[in-house]
Amino acid sequence: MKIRIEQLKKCYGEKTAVDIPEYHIAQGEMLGLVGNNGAGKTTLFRLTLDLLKADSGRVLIDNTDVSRNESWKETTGAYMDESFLIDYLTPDEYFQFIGKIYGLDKATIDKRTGRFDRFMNGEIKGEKTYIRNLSAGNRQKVGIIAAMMHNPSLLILDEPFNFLDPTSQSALKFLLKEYNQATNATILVSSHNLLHTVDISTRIALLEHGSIIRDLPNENGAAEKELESYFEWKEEDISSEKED
Amino acid sequence: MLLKLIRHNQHLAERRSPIYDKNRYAKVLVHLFAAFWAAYLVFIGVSLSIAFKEGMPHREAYDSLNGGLPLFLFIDFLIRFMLPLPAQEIRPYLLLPIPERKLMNALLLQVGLKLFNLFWLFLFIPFGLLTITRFYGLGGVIGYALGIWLLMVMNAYWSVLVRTLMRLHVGWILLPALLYGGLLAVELLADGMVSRTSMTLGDGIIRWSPLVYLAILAGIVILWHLNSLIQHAAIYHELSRKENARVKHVSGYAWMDRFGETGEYMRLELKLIFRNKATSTNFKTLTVILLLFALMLFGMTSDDELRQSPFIVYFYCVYCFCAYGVAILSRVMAYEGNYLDGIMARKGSLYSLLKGKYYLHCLLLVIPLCCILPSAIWGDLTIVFVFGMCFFTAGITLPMLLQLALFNDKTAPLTASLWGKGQWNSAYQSVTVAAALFLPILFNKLLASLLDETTGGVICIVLGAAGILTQPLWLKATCRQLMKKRYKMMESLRNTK
Repeated sequence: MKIRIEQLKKCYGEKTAVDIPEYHIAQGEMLGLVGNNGAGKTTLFRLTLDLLKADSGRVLIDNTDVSRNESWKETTGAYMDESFLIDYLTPDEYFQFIGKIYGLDKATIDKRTGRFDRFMNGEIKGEKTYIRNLSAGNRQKVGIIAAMMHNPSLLILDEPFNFLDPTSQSALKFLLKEYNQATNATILVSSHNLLHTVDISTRIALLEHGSIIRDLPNENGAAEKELESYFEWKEEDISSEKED
Repeated sequence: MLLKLIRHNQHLAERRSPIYDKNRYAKVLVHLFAAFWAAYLVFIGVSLSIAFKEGMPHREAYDSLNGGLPLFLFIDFLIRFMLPLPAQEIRPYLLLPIPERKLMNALLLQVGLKLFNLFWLFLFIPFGLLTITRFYGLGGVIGYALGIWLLMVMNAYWSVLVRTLMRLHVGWILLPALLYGGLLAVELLADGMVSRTSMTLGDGIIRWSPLVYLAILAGIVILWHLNSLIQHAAIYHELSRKENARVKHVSGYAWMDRFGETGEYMRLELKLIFRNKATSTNFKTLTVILLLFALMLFGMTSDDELRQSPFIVYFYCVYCFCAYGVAILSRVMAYEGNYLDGIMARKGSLYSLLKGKYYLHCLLLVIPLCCILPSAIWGDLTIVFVFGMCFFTAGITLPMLLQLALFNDKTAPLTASLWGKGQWNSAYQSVTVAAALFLPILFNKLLASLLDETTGGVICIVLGAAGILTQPLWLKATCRQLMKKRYKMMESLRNTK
């Protein structure tokens, strides 16, 4: 699925959270969204998923304005935070619930979640534990798996590496890359982890104060140096800190 | 200093709690609720002074009330189960460079100084002014107020001790059970010994007897010391406390599969009710009340009583049918606020959610119907009246309660009690709940006075059936309205989580 952003603006009082005049994401791209805290990554994702009202402008998924039509939801999967999880269900119940909402039968749901067996590491599937009693990492995994279960053409994950142990982070990178190659799905991932973002993304957008200040192609990790230079704690930062 | 700091932080936590901070209505409601209870206690105090004077002329009114002091202390003990424990409040301060004992002592001191300990004085001071002044003057009333306050402080430490022990091990419930059971047994077997002792105690505080005051103060000191001893263990227990993580039995409610996607949401609603403290406590309490009301209806509906007090019959009947809807459905979207983003990110979910909720609450009407039907079969309620109530609830009351989806914009915590923070959303909710309970009563009364009861019942059935049959229309209209204001609603629900 392709995404087009047109004159998108969202402010909270005086503060501009998102201000993107124009941006295109092509079908099959894996876009990494990076930026410091408060740069607008989560707000941009919420606007893309129609969970927030834009002050002006619009987001189009496959030429459909997300705020005017719900058809894009059938082929979009997303996990932002725990407000996506129904925490009084067990993981299996949650998978069954989400799967059935997307019209999948029980056997298909079991088969689809089976793809993530190694990622779940035997701590999620079959566990008679409510999601609220799982560890933060396992809750994160439940959300990610539920977002991918219906084979979406557009996958949006906000900070998916958070709370995951190093092995699971590595497994997730592999899963996302493999999924992208197998389905040609468009994947949007935000992260503070530059290494992982560079590893998986074909393109990286750098956000600052709600604007995309750099749009970096990332074939063979080409964006790494530029990102490192942007995020590096520089001499002038240290001297201004001392002055303060 | 430390006490002031802790109090300041608690005050800020209360004031800035998202569900309170963003809910002006809740603020007003809390103050109204407190004012109502204060006024109610004053009313009870005045009424008791008159009742004791007239009902027990051979004894002074204050002696009669003092005889019942253990009962007041027991009620106060039960109410205190809603209050937090020092071991639960100490967590944010544990890593600060302040000795743990000093912290705990500050929190224990706060237990004694809480304004709540003064609340009973709304009852005892008016009572004292009307009954004690003429014998002991204002000094007697002041002594009485001081003594009652000290007794409440002692009760507060007793309550903290018991509740802390019970959180360490549930078996400690035997301690209050044995004490209160023992007091009751002594009272019954030893010819009112407890009430006589209590009367002497009350008399002592009115007369400023030093011995009595010393005894109460000694009780406070002993309980403080015991609390101080057990709190250390309680802190570590609180820090490592975790909800029982394993689910013993996972219900599938497979029969709901036949309803398709709506069935999934019905199943979700059922799990929402049974797996969360707020909703499951409501459900269980209401089921007990419902059974009691149904039993009362079964016992009382002789022709005479029905004619004498139709309001009570209507109220019991309406309450039985509306109870679940009023307590659970009236918080529609407020509970879903906990996971609304996940719902809204999926197509058509909102409509299915509302539909699932409506279907399930219609199905739940089977419970009151089964409870009340015996009164129609073997008692004096008519079948038409009972079915009229059932249909009216399904077709009129439940749709009306579902409209609250458009107004409930504060997330209600799923783990709080019915009266806990965030359960009351807006004035609309209170008004709709009142309408759900009293509109059917007024409507039935009107029908009964204009027509006969059978015709009234038939009209209720017809109206209810119309509401049920037109469900796709009004539900879609509600959903459309909800979609129009979805951004505002989502933002508000997100901000009050």
